[in-house]
Amino acid sequence: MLFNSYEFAIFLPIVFLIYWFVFGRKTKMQNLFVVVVSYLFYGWWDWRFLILIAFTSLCSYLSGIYIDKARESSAPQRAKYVSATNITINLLILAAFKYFNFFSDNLERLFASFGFALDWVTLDVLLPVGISFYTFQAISYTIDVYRKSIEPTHDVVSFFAFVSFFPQLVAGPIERSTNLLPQFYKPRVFDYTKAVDGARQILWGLFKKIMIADNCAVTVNEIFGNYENLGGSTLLLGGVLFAFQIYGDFSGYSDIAIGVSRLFGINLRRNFHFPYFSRDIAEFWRRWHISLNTWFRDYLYIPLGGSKCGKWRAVRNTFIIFTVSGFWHGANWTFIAWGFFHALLFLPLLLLGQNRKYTNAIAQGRIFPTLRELLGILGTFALVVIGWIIFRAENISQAVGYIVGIFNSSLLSPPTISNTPPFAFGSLGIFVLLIIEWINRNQEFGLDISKSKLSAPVRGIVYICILLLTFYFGGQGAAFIYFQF
Amino acid sequence: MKRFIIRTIQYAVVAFFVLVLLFVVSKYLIQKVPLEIEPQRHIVVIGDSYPEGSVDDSIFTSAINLSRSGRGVPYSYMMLRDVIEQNPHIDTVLQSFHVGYTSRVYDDFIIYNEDYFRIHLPSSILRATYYDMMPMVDVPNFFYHALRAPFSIANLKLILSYFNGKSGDVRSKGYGGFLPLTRDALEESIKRKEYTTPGGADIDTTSLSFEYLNRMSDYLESKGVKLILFNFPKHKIDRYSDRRGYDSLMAKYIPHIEYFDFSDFPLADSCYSDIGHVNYRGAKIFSEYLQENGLNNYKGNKYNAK
Repeated sequence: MLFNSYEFAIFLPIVFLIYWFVFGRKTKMQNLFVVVVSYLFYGWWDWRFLILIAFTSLCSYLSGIYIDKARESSAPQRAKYVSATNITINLLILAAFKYFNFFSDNLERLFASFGFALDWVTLDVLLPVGISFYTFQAISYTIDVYRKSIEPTHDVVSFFAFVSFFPQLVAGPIERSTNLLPQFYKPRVFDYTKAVDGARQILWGLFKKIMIADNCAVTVNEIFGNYENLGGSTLLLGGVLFAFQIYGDFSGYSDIAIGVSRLFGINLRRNFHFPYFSRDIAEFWRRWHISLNTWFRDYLYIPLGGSKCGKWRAVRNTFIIFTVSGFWHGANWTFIAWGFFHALLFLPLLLLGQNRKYTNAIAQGRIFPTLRELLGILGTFALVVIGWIIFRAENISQAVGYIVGIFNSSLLSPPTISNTPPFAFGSLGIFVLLIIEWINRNQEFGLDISKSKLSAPVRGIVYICILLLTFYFGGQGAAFIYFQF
Repeated sequence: MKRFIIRTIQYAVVAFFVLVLLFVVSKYLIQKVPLEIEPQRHIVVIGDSYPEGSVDDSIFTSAINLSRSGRGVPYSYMMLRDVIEQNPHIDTVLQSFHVGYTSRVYDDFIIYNEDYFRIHLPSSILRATYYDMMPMVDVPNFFYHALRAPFSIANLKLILSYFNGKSGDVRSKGYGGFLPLTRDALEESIKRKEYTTPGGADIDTTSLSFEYLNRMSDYLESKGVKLILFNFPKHKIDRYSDRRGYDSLMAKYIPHIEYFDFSDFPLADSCYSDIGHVNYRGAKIFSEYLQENGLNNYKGNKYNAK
């Protein structure tokens, strides 16, 4: 069930009303209801996915209990084995469904290059949507219990609700047990301000997805599908539009997920913080897909020693975290190359100790950025666009061909677009996005105008305008890109 | 909670009211846009890319070409009604037609094709009635597309033309026109055979095109306008082979509609843009032929002629 579908438009109000009116004062029943509707939401794609998520949830739930028991027993080292076993099970499931064919294909090619024909097995399996998201969420719980960051839960319903909570189930934000799980223990009271904030964030997410991502997708697909025959300026435009497509798509999903959760009295973590206003790559990575990057930081980078264990190990750790982060996105060399490319961009900042240079707000106390800030923003965006071209390409040779194609004399000629309306509407959406997000760059999300000086009627007009823009000029409803991850 | 629900409903009602208001206003304005055709032009050529590139109405001066690439019979029918209502001097309509029009495969190709759907549906839906559209879209989609239509490019152009004054050629209002083809892709298309008529020589009476063809015929008959189905010149590779079988099907299913088959109109290869479409040279020759001979003197393959 997609957030931008009729089904969801019917599903959400019904679930909302039952959640508050029928189970409003019974936390346990609310949690059970969350599990049921989350499974319904997820099973809408394919009911077989439910077996997998139930298995993952059960393993992680039991691992928490056994870790606790082992710790109290005469052999506390068993906690480590239980934790490792559960992580291994989860990673094996992920590997089987997402990476098996990638490894078998590459192994086959490797052997073929040495003249051996390897008749390797390939699995004809459906990739369950959002498997990387909930697997990581389940793993984080086991690690948190092992590290004693959280008490193991004995409340199986709350735990299942934590793993399968439908707003963030298929594309994040990847929640931590320390943040989300305790919220299922406590009684939830309807909060008007929180709900209004949620509705506002849902509207903004829909605008980003339908108006920007879906429109840009048309032009982007055309350009990437025919890149050999197009001039440099058109290819560059394709890269820029893809940058906004993926931002609109993914951050749009996160906004809707966070907004929907607020309607149910649940607070999710922020996932994006206006990443295209970043002044360097390090700042970009603090603002893009925050829940994944902090996951890797806390559960991989820091355990490996982080940046405080000598320069060479810091370099090694940087490459590991970026490459693994790329590989998390999918079983393709382009994702690995994308991660590697960002590691290369990040490395100079790390070695020069400049990676935390920009932790303050952008253009603080000013309407416009300084020239230095503006150049930093544009330069960072240009590098990010090159990264996105690698990310979007079908394979490495297409990525290289595409990037090489940009840099020729046709870069200065006007781009050629065959299907003008989606391009025009997408560009209009980008224009509105940049203005609104710049004005509200210090707020939680783009349309967070609750603290602004605008009067209530003016705010109402803004909401109606955003709604109408989305309705009239929105593109064809398409699935969210990050579902495949 | 109550306050939140009331506020949400209020916003939904206001937004819906604005949508309906814009729909009503734009429908009113579009229906007021004048679609005048000069009195000497009493034939309307209508349809898709075949007539669009074949009939140069600056040569064939008794006709006006209102065809547009990818426009299926349902859209032609809806557009035609406006034109006929405002121009009672029109006495003949030449509707582009070939055998594939009556197959469901062709429905998918020309009506439900995503690109064509997005172009032609919004510009028709504001002129159409619920009854007109129902075979084409389901109920939720009808309302969705109808409410979105005021801001489609085609309708915005029409609305602007209303404000720009009452004069102007109907062809400049997005209703179509002659488009000389300059591309030279005959060899390539022979290799790829991309324009081979889909559907084969079989008539499926449940196809949408067939349904709207009959509606068009009934409507024009009620207005005293003659409908002639017209097959435009095609390269020999793209002409259908089973003509005898086709003749009997035509006689069985649409005996009341005349059909002129120009698909084997003699043209050299240099007159084709691809196997399905003539280029500007072919259009010139064909239009001169129509201008000189008229429709009444047509000696070619004529079916159901009255």
